[in-house]
Amino acid sequence: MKALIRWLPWVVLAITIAVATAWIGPTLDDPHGQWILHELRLPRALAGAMVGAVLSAAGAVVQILLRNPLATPSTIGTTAGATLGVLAVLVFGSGSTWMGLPILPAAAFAGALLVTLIIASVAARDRARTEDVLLAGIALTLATGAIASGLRLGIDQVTSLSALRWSLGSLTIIGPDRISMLAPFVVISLAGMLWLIRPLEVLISGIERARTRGVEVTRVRTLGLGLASLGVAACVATCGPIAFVGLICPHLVRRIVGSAPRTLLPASILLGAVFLPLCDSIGRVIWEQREIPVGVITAALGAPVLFMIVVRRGRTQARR
Amino acid sequence: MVALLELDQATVLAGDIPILDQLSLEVGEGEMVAIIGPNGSGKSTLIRALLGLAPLDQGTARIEGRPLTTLTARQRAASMAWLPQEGLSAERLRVEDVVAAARFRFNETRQDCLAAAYRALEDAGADSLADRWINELSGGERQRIELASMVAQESKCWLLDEPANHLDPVWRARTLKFLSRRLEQGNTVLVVLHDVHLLGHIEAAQTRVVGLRQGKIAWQGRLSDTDLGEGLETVHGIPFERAVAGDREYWIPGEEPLE
Repeated sequence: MKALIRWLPWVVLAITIAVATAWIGPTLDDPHGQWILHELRLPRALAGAMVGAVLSAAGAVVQILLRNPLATPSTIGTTAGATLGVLAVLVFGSGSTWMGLPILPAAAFAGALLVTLIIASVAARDRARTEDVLLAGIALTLATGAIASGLRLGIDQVTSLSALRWSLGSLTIIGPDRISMLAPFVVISLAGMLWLIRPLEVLISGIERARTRGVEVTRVRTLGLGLASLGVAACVATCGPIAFVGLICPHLVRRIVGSAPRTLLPASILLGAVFLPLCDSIGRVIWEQREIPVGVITAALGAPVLFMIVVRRGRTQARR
Repeated sequence: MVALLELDQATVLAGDIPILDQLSLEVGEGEMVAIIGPNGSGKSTLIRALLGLAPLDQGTARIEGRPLTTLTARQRAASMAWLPQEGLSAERLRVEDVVAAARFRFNETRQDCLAAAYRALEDAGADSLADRWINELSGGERQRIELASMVAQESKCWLLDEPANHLDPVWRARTLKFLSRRLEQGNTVLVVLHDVHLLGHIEAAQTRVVGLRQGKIAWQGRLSDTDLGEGLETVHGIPFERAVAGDREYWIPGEEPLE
């Protein structure tokens, strides 16, 4: 309860900024503009906030679980798995539901979960180092990427182009129906990850230490990776793979408030919810007459951050 | 009476090579046990086997008569607290959060948890550090946080893996003194000492010394035993000389016998 009150002003601030991003860009005074604002930009900002929150939180959780600041859903292959699932549906699939399930998120989740389970099984081996996990993630990302490219060759040009556009990660095609499809996944995934904060607080001091303090590490790790995959898969199904959010946001948060999950996770959620709509708005206005997919913007910002973390880690390790 | 901790014919393999070789050991409640032995003799593995971190290939580990594998992580945490060889993580964490995290096994409010963490910090003489970042602490300060975390966990038995490593002489002595205090307060202490010299800092003469060699117990006896010197020689394979400074007794390694 107390925690809720403490976070409330920040939540309000984050939501305000996220919504305000809808007004970035050319002024929309005429009725047509009002329609654009309410039917296109606001849903888009809302979706951006949800996706950003989930990706950022998933990044933070995966980083804690694998004890590596470079681990994110995109570096351990979760995103690639989800992408492959969606592409497979675009190529082979027909219809939008299968046994009553919306097929796109279902396929994305299946792909994401498959890859994450492989990674988790690598991570669950007793002597697995985090480097092993990251390398396995890179291998799986490359493999699924190759299969995805192969799939793209098998489809007609129009579908291929839309698949390419989708695979860059974009919030353009968001409508209210997509949002209502995304929302339950976002809520479950975020609530679940926040619920794991207590064991995560112990895990941050080391996996073996956590074991001796009473944490059922395997259970927490499986749950955490599962919840992160679920959220990421829903996001990928909605707007394609958007990389680096899970890397940049937790990294910035860590530098400001420290690594303790009880602040890191909520703060990452809020920063993600602001960061992605902002990036999307930049993509909307930076190039007149055209839109740059938000995935391109986050990648352009994220690559230098990744580089910086690697360099800094190398330096601190050399010092030890 | 059932032993608090027990290893029964415990074997841990690394590939085909046994690190622990059918080792049996019982530790009673309120006992202080010092594990010594050369590098690679299985000291750390013994502690890890008791904690369930090194799964046994043969034999059984028991806590108060119950097989370790049947206990939940929380039950284990109630019995045993661990001070590992590698230091605190380099993450940017507040001292109070680190110590509070050691209380995971308790179902309590954050407020109670923090209150207990502060008491533990006070006990370890580190209450002034509560709102510092752990990655900015000195070695001695970090040691106090480690000890405070163990206090906060409120386990029956303390298992420490070379707690004096990387510490200056003052902090080594303080750490061992702190262990004696815990012993007086009713804890059971099992401590791996890689430096025989440190035996001289242990106050309780009834301390049991267990010497490992190649995964087996090569010698064991009391710290007050007159044949401790021979024991050390059996364990390390070189003679040791007794040196007395004040009321303390130290063991100085002699020359290695030439082949």
